Amino acid sequence: MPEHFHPPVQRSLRLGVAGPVGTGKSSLIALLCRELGTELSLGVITNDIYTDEDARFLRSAGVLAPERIRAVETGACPHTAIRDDVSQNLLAVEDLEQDFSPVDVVLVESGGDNLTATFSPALVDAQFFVLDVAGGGDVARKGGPGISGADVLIVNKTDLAPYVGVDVEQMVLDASAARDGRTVIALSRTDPPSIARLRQWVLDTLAAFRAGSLRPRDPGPMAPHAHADGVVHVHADDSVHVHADDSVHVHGSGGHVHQH
Amino acid sequence: MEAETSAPVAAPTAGTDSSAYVSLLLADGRLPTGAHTQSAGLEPALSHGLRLEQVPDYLRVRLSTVTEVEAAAAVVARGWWRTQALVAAMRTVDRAWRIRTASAALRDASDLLGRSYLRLAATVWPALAPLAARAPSGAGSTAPRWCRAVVIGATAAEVGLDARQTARLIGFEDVQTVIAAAMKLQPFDPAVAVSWAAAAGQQVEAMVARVADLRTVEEIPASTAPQIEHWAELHTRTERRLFRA
Repeated sequence: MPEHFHPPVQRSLRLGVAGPVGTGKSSLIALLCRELGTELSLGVITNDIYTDEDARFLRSAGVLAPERIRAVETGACPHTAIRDDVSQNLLAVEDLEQDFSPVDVVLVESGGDNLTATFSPALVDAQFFVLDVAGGGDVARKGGPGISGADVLIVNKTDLAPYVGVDVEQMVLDASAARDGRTVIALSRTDPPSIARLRQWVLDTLAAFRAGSLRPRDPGPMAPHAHADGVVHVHADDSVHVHADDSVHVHGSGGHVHQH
Repeated sequence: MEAETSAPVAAPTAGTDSSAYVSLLLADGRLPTGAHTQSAGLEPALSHGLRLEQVPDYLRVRLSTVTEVEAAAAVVARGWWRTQALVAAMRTVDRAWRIRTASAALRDASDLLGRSYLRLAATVWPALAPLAARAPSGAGSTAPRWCRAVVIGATAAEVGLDARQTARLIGFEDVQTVIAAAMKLQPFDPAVAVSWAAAAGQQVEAMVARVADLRTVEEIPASTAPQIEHWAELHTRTERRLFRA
């Protein structure tokens, strides 16, 4: 081995955090840093619409060394930066992995401004989609690619439910129905068991990633939908195939796009 | 990019010259190199007093200063790409561009774009890999820094662009970056924006003519735009920005 041999930089588990503005994406990241920051080496990338607002919030939260939190500008294209041209986010992730090697998990926060932004599997290995009870109990039922296809749906701020007239149990049931059984976590900072579940999910996912059994999945650009014959298609694989009627279908995990 | 889909490798086919086609591919704003995060200095310019109707003047200034220097460096890098010690040759061109670019903010912006461009191009055209190789030992375990001019020049050589196509690519990219950013920052009639881009064609072609025959680093012009450099520096310190640079 040469005298100055440098081992290859460890590739981190990359977790995306998407969801509408104000639902608690930054708070979720702060919570994860607080819960896991002592046992894991973490990094955070924010994708703000306006530069480093979220990065500054996280730095001021004091849950992670400020230099491990970096902002990526998106040129007013927050979707592009996490979906069709992920180059700037990838460079930022790799810089963190290089500068703080070894890094176990990098959390990438979207600069989401609506219900439709999800991460490309070329950028993250798994992703959260964050809703909150204050957004209304019917949001989960309305669905969308993040709600139906993200690896974990967070129903956040459950402690506020009594004040906003939302039935958390029903909201979680609606979300689970839209998600074909994928994980839903009803979360509150004041509810330790919910935090323990979140924490365990990250540790389990990291273990799967290290074992090589984690397969990044695209939630898809659209939610699953019913065909004219009333049959709802949800495909777990990423298969592309041609149906007998000559329509070409591209299947993401739960997502479903077709061109006739 | 450990996704299961591996990038197909572009192999040149004997007997067909696809350089004109590839130059369109490289010029397309949809090329995934992070161009959407850049305003070519327009965002700080507008926030420090440049008026929207002055954008054509702003383009003209860039095309005869910073952009001409970048295009000239790309042309020289393209010409030197086939030399034997190509990494050393590219380093010489890179240094020549760097000492002509006083603003650290502009150098950083170019380095970042060079990295993303190379990341893409070295996957599509594997012959570019020597540029992306990390130093094997010592403190240089980080990926090497290359300004965008060198990366584009090397890519241009690899895909068969001539010197004029190479310089035009740099000029076009600059014009479209400024105009696309203007549309994001202060939306106006898109037809006016396209008419500005069309009119800039004359200045782009004049710039192409000035740099197309350059062969040595000594010939790379050193014209600068101190106001643009100053704005670029201010931009790195602002807390609210849409664009990286």
